Amino acid sequence: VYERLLENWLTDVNELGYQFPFCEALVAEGYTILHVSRHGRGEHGKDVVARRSDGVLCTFQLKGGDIALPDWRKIRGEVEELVQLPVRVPGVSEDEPHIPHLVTNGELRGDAPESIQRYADDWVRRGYSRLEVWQYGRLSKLFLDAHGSFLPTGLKDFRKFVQLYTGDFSAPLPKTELAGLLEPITIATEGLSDTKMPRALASLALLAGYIIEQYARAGNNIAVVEGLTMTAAAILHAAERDSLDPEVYLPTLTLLYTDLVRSLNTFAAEALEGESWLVFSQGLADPHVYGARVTIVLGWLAKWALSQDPNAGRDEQHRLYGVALREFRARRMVGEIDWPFLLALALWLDRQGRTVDAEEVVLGHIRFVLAGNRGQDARGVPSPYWSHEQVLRLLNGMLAPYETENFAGHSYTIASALDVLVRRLRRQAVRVLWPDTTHLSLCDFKPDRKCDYFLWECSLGSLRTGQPERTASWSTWRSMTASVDRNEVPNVLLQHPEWLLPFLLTYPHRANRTLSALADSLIAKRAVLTE
Amino acid sequence: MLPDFPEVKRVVLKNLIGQTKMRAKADPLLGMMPPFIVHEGDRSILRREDGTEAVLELRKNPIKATVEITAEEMRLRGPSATARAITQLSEGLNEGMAKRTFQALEEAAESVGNSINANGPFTAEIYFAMLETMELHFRADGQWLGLKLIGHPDTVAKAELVIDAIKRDPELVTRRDSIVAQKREEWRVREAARKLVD
Repeated sequence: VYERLLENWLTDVNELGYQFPFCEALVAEGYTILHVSRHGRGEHGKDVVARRSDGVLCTFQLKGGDIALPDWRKIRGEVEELVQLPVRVPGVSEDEPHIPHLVTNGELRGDAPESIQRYADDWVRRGYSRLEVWQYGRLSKLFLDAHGSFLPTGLKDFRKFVQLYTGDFSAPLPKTELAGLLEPITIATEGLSDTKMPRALASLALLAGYIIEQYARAGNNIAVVEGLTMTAAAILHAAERDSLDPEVYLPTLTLLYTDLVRSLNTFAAEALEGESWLVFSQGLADPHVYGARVTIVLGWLAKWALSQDPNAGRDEQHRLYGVALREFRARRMVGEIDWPFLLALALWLDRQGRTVDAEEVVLGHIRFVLAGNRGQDARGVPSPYWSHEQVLRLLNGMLAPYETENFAGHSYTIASALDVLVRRLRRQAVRVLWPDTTHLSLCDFKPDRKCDYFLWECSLGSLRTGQPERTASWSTWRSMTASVDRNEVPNVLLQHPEWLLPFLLTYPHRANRTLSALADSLIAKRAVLTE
Repeated sequence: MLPDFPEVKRVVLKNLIGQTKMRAKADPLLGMMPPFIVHEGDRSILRREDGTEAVLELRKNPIKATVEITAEEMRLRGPSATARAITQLSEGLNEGMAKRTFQALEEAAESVGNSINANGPFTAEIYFAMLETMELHFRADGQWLGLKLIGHPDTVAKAELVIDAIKRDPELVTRRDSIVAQKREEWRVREAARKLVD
């Protein structure tokens, strides 16, 4: 039945939409991806450059839909570049021949096949490799073969897939449901051989890709980056659990990150345009959600900005600062789920040398949590287990009384936020905040197995709660926060630190004291890593 | 297959389970203690102020309640059959939670030596012994928050009579105020300790 859905998806998608799933399918077939065009139009006609398992260099130009003679005439120049220009990719000699592929998810129509054949023959006579054309049938076989035997077979799993596949793609990503689809697959990979594991992981990424691509089509870029991060988390779970050789999972993980960067670029371009982040669909209700949107957008923009080459993107960083200043006033803190978004923003400001701004962002979060817990009738602040959408439902009276929860007297994030200030020597600020903090029960969840950090919900682990000692020692605190123990954090996050912020932004309840400190260490260099 | 309405039933079931939560909130004892939800994991480790820890295994000894509902009742009584079952279920769960709460309170009191054995009816002397033993709590302005009596309704009613009698006896009021004043000083010392030092 998946075949039918795949056919349906493959027929609808455009060339940009199937580019990354196509690469995942190539990986599953044993290809090594050497280059993926990030901007849509491939350099020298080459959207993807890959090496086949037998060592042959292959180049691919992707097209969407049927190709009739007029279409062929339009694209012939690009295809000539594909065939005739050498591959310019680091590590590949420009003299090395390559097999060019014209790929379409449609069919060649009318006189196009004959014309393409004539040009292909002519190029061969002139010493170039023969152009191969992969049409819909070849492409769908590639995708299906890529899954091998790793597609979930149960009806329940299929139902989950269909529900996600037919969702509302303008809404937030249903993370619990996506985790419910991906996690059983990754758990089932335990103990697979190094030869089977790459295909299993590529199949998982491909399956997720069918869903994520539809969010991309709807322009819902935050859902896209979250979906890609959840897919990466499923792979990181397997990598950490089985101590996998990077060769086994890195091809798939790298593709996911390339896609994430591309999606973040699209998102940033949209967010940095215009004079506000208002969404005018059902616009009268937008003020009810605007403040939460600001926090989310600022968090992901910070991740985007931190990924940029600091020298190349100065203008964009400056522009982001202006937009951040404009919008920060409109933010509305809704719960402890805001913490990783504010942490990301603070880390970016810190890197920009705007340390006072960075510290004010962190201070704002601490004051918000303390204010929410002040007084006899305090209701507390929703925990990081409450998504932005859920908190907005609560704030707008959309939950039944039994669906609410008592948050008073507890905090999951204030200790992490105070640690950030301690690392920046803000002793006076911490001194003022400390008495109120001691009234709170500080909560910190740690999974038993480090790989389980990457699960949406972890069944084995301990939640530590308790009020801190009333009298805190600054020097002890300084010393405690000055380092992060490598043994406490997943090894794969140290190997692939670029995933840390996307992970915390997508899984805000995982931004515990240890992983918040890791972010401060890896990004701001405010703590050292120790054994 | 017979006609069914799974979505309606899903929402109804969600509401019915929600009712058990609301009944727990409405319970005189359980309603006094705001619940704290552990969202994941299998253990909760509570760190006490003295640095000691208590480990609660979340999957061990879950509180259970059983309710019987016959097919005949379901067929003929309709929603009122479910309402009866939910009420019974809630009572069973509340009773289980109350027992567990008293057990935990007793264990905690025993472990820190805060337990007083009345060996008879509640008297003014027991009340004063309780005040002497406990850590009392005060508002920020120093006003005593008072005590909350928890127990069997008959026992609580009798204890309240004794406490009312104390309030009418100037000598006993002086004695109580003296204990409270001493406890207030202890509280002030505790509060003053909420600070950041070198």
